[in-house]
Amino acid sequence: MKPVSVVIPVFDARELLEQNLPALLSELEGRALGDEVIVVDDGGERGLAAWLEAAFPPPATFDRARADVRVLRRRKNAGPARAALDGAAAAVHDRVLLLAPDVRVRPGFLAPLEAALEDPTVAAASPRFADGEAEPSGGAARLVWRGGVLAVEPGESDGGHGGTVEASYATIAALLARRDELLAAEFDARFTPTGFEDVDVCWAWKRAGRRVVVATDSIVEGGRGDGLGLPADVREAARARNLLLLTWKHLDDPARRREHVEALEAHALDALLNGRRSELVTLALALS
Amino acid sequence: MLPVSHATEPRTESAATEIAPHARAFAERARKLEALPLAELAARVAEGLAGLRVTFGLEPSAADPFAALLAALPRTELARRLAESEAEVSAARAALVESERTAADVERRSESLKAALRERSADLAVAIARADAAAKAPAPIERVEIDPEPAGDSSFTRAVVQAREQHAADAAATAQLDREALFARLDNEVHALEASRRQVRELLDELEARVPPPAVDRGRAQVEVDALLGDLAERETTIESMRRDLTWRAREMDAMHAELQSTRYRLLARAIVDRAERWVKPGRAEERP
Repeated sequence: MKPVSVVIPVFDARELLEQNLPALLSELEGRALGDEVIVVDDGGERGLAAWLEAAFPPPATFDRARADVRVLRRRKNAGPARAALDGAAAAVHDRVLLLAPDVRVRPGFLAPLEAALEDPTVAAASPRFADGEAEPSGGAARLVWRGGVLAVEPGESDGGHGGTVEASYATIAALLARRDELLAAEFDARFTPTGFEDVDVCWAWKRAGRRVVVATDSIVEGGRGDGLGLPADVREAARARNLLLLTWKHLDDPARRREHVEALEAHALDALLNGRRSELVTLALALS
Repeated sequence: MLPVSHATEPRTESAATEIAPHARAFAERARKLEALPLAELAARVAEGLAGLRVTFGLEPSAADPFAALLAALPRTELARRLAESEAEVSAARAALVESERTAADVERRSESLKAALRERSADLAVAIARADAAAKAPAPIERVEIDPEPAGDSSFTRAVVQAREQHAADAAATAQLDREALFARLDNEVHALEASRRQVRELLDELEARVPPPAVDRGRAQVEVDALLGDLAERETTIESMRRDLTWRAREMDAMHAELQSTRYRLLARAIVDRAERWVKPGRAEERP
């Protein structure tokens, strides 16, 4: 196994770090590989570094087993995707684990991810997500083509049988990738503020012949908040808009393009005639 | 509805207490679009979709949802709603006609009842008057007078006398029959009046026993008349009320219909004006589809 750089972009999320960082540090300490944790302060309130030092004090003497925790501060808030890339750029190890601050890792979560990445065809690997302390109930969400548009559907259970299963995408909430590939792919700024930027990168990898997988024995909890403080309706609008942007970036087949545009026109007409303003807002946001 | 649901996507609330700065611009843009009039919002979408068609290399002819909307109007939701509303209006009008017919029927029956009541009242008054008259004045007895025998030709005189006697006898017999018939009729009349008076007397006695004296004076007939008149007045009030209600419903239906038509034309007009504005706006002529 090789050491890993864990990058955690945060925006005013001390409570989440307080809750979830100990489990990560414990896991890394058990590995004793000299992993590092980079907390990227995405322009939040000042004092995060001092607070981290107080809350998770470094050892008095050098301890190779301890993970190095450091803070990288962005002066201007740019969102978790941008902050994650800044953290990856500052990482010292070849393998980078992007982790959302609301994710709590379970013991042994990292080894299956690393094992998956040993396969040179695999560009990224994600764990399975559990709701609290329960076991993961379903598989990773997948994107399907339905009625001329992309739709997100729950995946079928991928079980804990070991190994990996092919995934529609790996989520930015917990994603292990190679540092150079991550930096080369970047996250598209047009997906700001949130939603599907990780899918966009994964699909670019896939189009280049790489694979994206879920390591079925790797389990984490949480990972369901965006940390942006967006009202629910605005967040939903952002995700809906970004799903359209994702479609437009990756839709090559002429027949599907026609089907898609005609479906959107039909939806627009239907929304107009039935006064469903929010759907027109979503379309306008995407089309502007 | 756009199939962009995220049943498996993040649902928990953010830990942040305020919108991150980089997300504010998006939130504000969404709010501004949300505040736009529906037609303007739709115009922007139409324009964007037209651009998307061009980007995807599709023919632009049918790119404008407004053009499609205008072309498809008779077959789309609006037309369906209009047809539904018109059907509702027709049904309401039919109900109105039916209600008015029912009201007229009730009115006709009420008039008939009133006439029957008046007739019955008159009959009763006549019967009472005749009974009173019959009781006070006994029927006159018919008298038959025979001329004395004249002097002169005895045979002729006898013949004349016999003829007169026969005539007198016939007249007397006829008079007797008439008298007997008259008496018989009178007897019947008197019996009927006596029966009627007995009934009235019994009713009065009964009423005297059941109600206070002032009401008893009016008699049962008058009480019946009053009750029927009260019933009629109540029915007339009900009919008036129904008529007012039906008139109001008819006006309401007409107003709904007018509003629906107005909305339809406003939508069409807005669409056309928006298109026209975009076409004539300086510097944007190249955007004309």
